Amino acid sequence: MNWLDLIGALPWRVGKPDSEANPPSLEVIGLVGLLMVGVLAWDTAPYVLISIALAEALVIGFIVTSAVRRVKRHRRDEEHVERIAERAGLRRAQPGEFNLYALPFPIFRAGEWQGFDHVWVGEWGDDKVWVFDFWNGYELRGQDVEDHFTCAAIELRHADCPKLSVTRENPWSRTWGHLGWRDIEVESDDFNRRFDVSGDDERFAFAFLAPSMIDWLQRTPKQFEFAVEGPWLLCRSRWLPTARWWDLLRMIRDFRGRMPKTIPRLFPDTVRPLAPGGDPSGVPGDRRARPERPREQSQNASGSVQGVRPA
Amino acid sequence: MNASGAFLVAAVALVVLLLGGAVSFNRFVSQRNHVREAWANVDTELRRRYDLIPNLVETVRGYAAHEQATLEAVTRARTAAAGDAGPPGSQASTERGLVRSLRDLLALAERYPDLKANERFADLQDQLVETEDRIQLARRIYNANVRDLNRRVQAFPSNVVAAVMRIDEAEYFEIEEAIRSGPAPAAV
Repeated sequence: MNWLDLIGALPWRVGKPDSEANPPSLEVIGLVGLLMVGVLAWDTAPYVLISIALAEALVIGFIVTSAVRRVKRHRRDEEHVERIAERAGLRRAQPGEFNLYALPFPIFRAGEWQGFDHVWVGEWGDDKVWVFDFWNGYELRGQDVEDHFTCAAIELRHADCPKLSVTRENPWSRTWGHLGWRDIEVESDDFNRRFDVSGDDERFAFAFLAPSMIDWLQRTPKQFEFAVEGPWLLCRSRWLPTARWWDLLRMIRDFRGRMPKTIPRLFPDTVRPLAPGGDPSGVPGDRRARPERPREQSQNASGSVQGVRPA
Repeated sequence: MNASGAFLVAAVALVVLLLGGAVSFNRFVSQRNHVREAWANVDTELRRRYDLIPNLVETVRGYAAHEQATLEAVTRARTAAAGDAGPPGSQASTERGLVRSLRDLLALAERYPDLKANERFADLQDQLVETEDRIQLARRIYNANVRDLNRRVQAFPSNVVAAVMRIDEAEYFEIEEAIRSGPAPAAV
């Protein structure tokens, strides 16, 4: 462990997930306060100074111990991800290799600012797979609120699918359904009760949600939601610790595996999309040209791209 | 409440009922059209299959001419199915006969390796698989529309509108696949 790691892991630098930049913690404020009291109490009895020195030593010890533990945990997580990635045939994405805004799903447009981190990429047969942490943020009553997700996306080579989203039913969507704004309903009542299916093309929804897919989706854990658009399959969850990345990878692999064979035949790829790296905005006729966004991006040391708040 | 107040309440209730009835009726009309449209799609896909069968029969005949009974059974079943313009229940019955005879025809390929290796036969078989997928897809969409319509025909209060406007339940269409395609191969 080197000093740079340790400094990086001090409480004002480390958050969970890493993308959150935490404000100075209570420990730091306490330490500064104790130092000030020590300076003011210079003239008082020695036992007061000794007490203050002990308290300061305790606080410093606590901070250093917690920083060491954080560094160790971070290392352990990294090693865990490396092992998972190796098993799944993934590698860390190169800087600029991944462009979040090339993905067509509305979740990546939601919020006032967005960003992504820990981007891994690999090839499974003909398909390209991406795994990454993603967050979007917005201001609510003067407070910054951020939603964090972990996503896996597969880029299919031979399909151009209309938009389809498979999310869990909630009281809100159920009420809308009762009022007549029904989602797409397949032949399984049980599935219809548990899932909210929306999309542009009913025929595609039925073709994609074949009986075997319906059966599998009903057995998936509630935290996972699915979407399809263009050549992309997406599986997303609320933020997952690295120890649970394998669950997500298994989900996207099974989601892809259960995609009916008939999809590439019925919805063939007409325009070859660009890989999500680089800047596709200059390509004439490209249907997934990246829109101009009033946002900045920065690249961190690991090559992943982080979104930042607009000024 | 005086007489004019009671009249007003009754008038408002009547208007609400009429409006509700009109909305419900319009939704029935829209659902009935969806069912018809979905059935037309099923019909289109079935016809696509009828068009494939003569070529398939001729190709098989080139390798297994003495399997006359099987070949004639397919031709007869095809003629019966293509000529059946009845309701979905009746068509499902003739289609089942066609599916059975098609399965017998495809099973012949297992006994004739030359036929199985024939490029044209393989191509026709692929086309048949695709057509079966299309039929099953159209059938599922049709049945989902039928279920939505039937649910409203049976449930209160829309069943009152259905009874008054003489909107009947639609028939489901259930057939099996002659040849099955599985899910796409797993990526890893």
